[in-house]
Amino acid sequence: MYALTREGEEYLKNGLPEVRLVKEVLSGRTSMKELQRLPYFTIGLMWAKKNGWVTVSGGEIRAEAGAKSVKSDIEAVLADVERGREVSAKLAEPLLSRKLVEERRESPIINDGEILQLTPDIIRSGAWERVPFKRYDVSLRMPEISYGRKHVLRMAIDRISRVLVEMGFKEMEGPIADAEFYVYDCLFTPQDHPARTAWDQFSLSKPKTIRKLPADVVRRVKAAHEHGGGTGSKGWGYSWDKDIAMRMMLRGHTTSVTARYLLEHNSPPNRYFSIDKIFRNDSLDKTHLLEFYQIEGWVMDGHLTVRDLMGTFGEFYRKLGIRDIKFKPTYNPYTEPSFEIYGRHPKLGRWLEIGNSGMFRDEMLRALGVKSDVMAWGLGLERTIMLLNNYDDIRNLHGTLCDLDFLREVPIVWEY
Amino acid sequence: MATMTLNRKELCAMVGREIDSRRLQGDLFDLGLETEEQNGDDITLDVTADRPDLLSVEGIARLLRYHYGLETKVRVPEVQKSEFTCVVDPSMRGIRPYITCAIVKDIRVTDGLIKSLMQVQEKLHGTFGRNRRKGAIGIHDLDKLSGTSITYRAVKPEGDTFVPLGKTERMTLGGALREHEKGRQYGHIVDGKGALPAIYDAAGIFSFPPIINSARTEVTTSTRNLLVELTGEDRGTIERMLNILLYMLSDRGGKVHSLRVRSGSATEIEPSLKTEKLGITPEYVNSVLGTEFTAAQIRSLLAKSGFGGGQGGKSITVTVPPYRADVLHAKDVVDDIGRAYGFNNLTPSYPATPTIGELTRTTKLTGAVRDVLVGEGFQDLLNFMLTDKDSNYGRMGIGDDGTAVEIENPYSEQYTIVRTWLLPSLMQVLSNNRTRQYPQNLSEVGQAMLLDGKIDLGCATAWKAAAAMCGMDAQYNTMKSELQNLARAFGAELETVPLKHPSFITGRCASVLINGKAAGFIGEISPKVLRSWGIEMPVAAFEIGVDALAPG
Repeated sequence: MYALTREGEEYLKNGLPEVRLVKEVLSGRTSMKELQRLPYFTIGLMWAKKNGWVTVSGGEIRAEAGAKSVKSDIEAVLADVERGREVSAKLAEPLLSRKLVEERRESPIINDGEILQLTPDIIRSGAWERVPFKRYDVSLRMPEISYGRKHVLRMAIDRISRVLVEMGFKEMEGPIADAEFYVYDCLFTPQDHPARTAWDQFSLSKPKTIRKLPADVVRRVKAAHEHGGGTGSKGWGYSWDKDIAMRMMLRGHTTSVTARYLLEHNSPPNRYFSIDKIFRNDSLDKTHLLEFYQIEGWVMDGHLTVRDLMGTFGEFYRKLGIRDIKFKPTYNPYTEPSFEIYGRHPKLGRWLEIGNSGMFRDEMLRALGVKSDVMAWGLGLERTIMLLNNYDDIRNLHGTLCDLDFLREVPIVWEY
Repeated sequence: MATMTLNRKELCAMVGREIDSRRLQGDLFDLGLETEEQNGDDITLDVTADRPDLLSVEGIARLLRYHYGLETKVRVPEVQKSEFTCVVDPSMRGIRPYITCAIVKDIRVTDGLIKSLMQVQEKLHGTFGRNRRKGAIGIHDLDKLSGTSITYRAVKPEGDTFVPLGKTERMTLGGALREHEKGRQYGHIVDGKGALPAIYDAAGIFSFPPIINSARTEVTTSTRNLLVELTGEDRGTIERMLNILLYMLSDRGGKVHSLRVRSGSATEIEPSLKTEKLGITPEYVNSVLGTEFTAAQIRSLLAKSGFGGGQGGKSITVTVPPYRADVLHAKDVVDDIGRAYGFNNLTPSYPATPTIGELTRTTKLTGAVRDVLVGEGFQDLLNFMLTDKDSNYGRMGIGDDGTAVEIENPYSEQYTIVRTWLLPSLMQVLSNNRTRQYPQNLSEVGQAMLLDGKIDLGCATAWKAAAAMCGMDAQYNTMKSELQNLARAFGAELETVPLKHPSFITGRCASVLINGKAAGFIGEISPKVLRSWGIEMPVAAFEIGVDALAPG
């Protein structure tokens, strides 16, 4: 296959130089001096003489006898090449030697009288005005290409963070590996609580213990556990052990970060949240992970009631598209009253457990130096996203065991 | 959280009212009991850890009788004196110090009661009793005991013998630990202290707490009188467990009798079945619930919860029955008032707490880095932080540098440390997805953790950005362009200087300097490392600390 060179394009558009020169001569302009001003004069004269169309003598050009019907095969061949028609090597040879066409190695841009692909050359040459575009079958399905996209769980995190910021919550951050003191003791969870066993939590051998704890908080936490610490509570009635509190672990909930924030931000008003990683020594299968995300939020004000809790957290779920909500009283060591939150699946209609909440106990708040009311709630991110979107394997949604096809094909999350 | 199973018909008979299963499920939900499973009339409920008194059908029936107003007053079983004595030998002090007991007479032991007792024992042991360590229950046929005095004392493991429940031959306590299924399961609680706990009557050992009763005192459907003994490491725990059992048996018509428990020079009459009192005001109740209840309404809601509510001027004196082990604070009573009213009957409100929302700098910065990488065409990942040394070090061609946070009790050998860098996670994903379409261009902006002796916690997390291209065209130069684009996006100066790193091909690896500071590295992964992950495609990658892009 051949393609027009820049020169070939120009001649196809304006005619060959020798043909144009002969036409000038035939129209009566025969003076060399005058004709020399034409840009194509030199090359036109050369080929016109070679073809035997003109002779030169005494500063005049004269057309020969057959010149009246000069016609060049070359122009026809140029037109065929532009349209991508098959051109024989014999016909192409003189054009190749004049560098009006060139061999084309890549796939044809114009073929069989149709433009296959629009190129800068075609735009420039104007071929698009003369040659029709090949029509595509626009209904064909094309190969799937996997571009980069944000992780679907990250999208959910971003959307939910935005919801919470819209609701006036500030984001908090804190240590992933922390002392049991912040993970449990500050949360009025007795040291022999079933959650605080090797079966549930990840203890650390390196680093084994925190170097120090704030003495005044330790004193108040100890008092709260042992006898209620002057809050009107009986406490748990056992001998609290600081050594246990100093052991390091991977946090089992982000409420450890809440405890640290309550120590620092202990006067109202406050709204804080985090969506961050937590760790449970549970199992790793289709529905369980060892590490996952917890959404956690709390509100501090001089006076908050159970109705405020219901209204605030209900509003959050409404923004996720869950409108029907009910509360089941439950038990947490550090909240009272406590509620599991159930929501009706917006599409499937089933009731699902979608969060845990409560008012922090006085035993916890006073030990952390908080005199106001604080209500809090938390929920597992992956579980909620799985339920809302009907994903069937949690290992695709978070972690190193993911199937890339899932991440490439799963619809993005944007509705929150 | 524990589950308990009951039969609806049996429950309705005890409540004294027919309740269809739909209504029952709804009422129990509002009282905090979720139906886990329903199989005909067999209902399995989730019972929260604060309410061990609800681990029996008798307990649930009591809850509902109060809730439906079929019972309105706090009822404490009358305790009559018996001629029995329990002597606590001083030898028990370092072994399993506490015992409490009671006698229940004139009870009809039906199959239903035996089933219920077995369930409540198992559930109380598993939850409140902390797997029998803090407290364990033994229930015996009183009429099969010899004499009227029992002794709680320490015995040498290979000393006296008895026939454990479920066996026919006599064995020593040590033998029971080795040979009895319960011995192997719970032996660790008492083993290794030189001696083992046993309870004697005139005929010898009849109980080996917390492991197994003797066959001699087995309770059957012909039993009429019971001895209930509890031992444990925490006195309060076994007393509360005993109260729960005595309410159950009393609800079944049993008459509670006391024993004299003698420990050294002190003698106490047990059980005590004491109620507790605490004061609340309507203002307090309403301030927690957001309600406007009058004192009279509150008293009626207290009655619906099984509490007593006496008048005393502005304040209400609440009587807490002995089976309620969970009331530490007045708020625990308010919670019951809310349950009795029905929390779902309250109207939600939105507090006018004036705050302004904001994201952390970390979230803003890492989000911006992620946006640039995704724009470059990388699939964003969200990997585990938990990994193992072989993935973090060995397969990456490097040695253990001792900087990793290590887990004491790992779930499995694949998750023993917290990753110190992100690239191994990306390699793992590439390795797991070899059958998926190439190119596979992956990135992660996530956390790694390193030991740090300079801070109190001894370790700190670091946010990193890592990217890898895997495919025929993966090479250093392309990766460098991606990194340049990332640096340019943050207006940061980027330099790459030659580096020898065992994870990368020498001559195609560089140390990354951002604004003149070492921030990470970039290179083509060495074929040796690729082979160790089973990857047969070239990989070019970089990893940098996120902070380097935007120093704080």
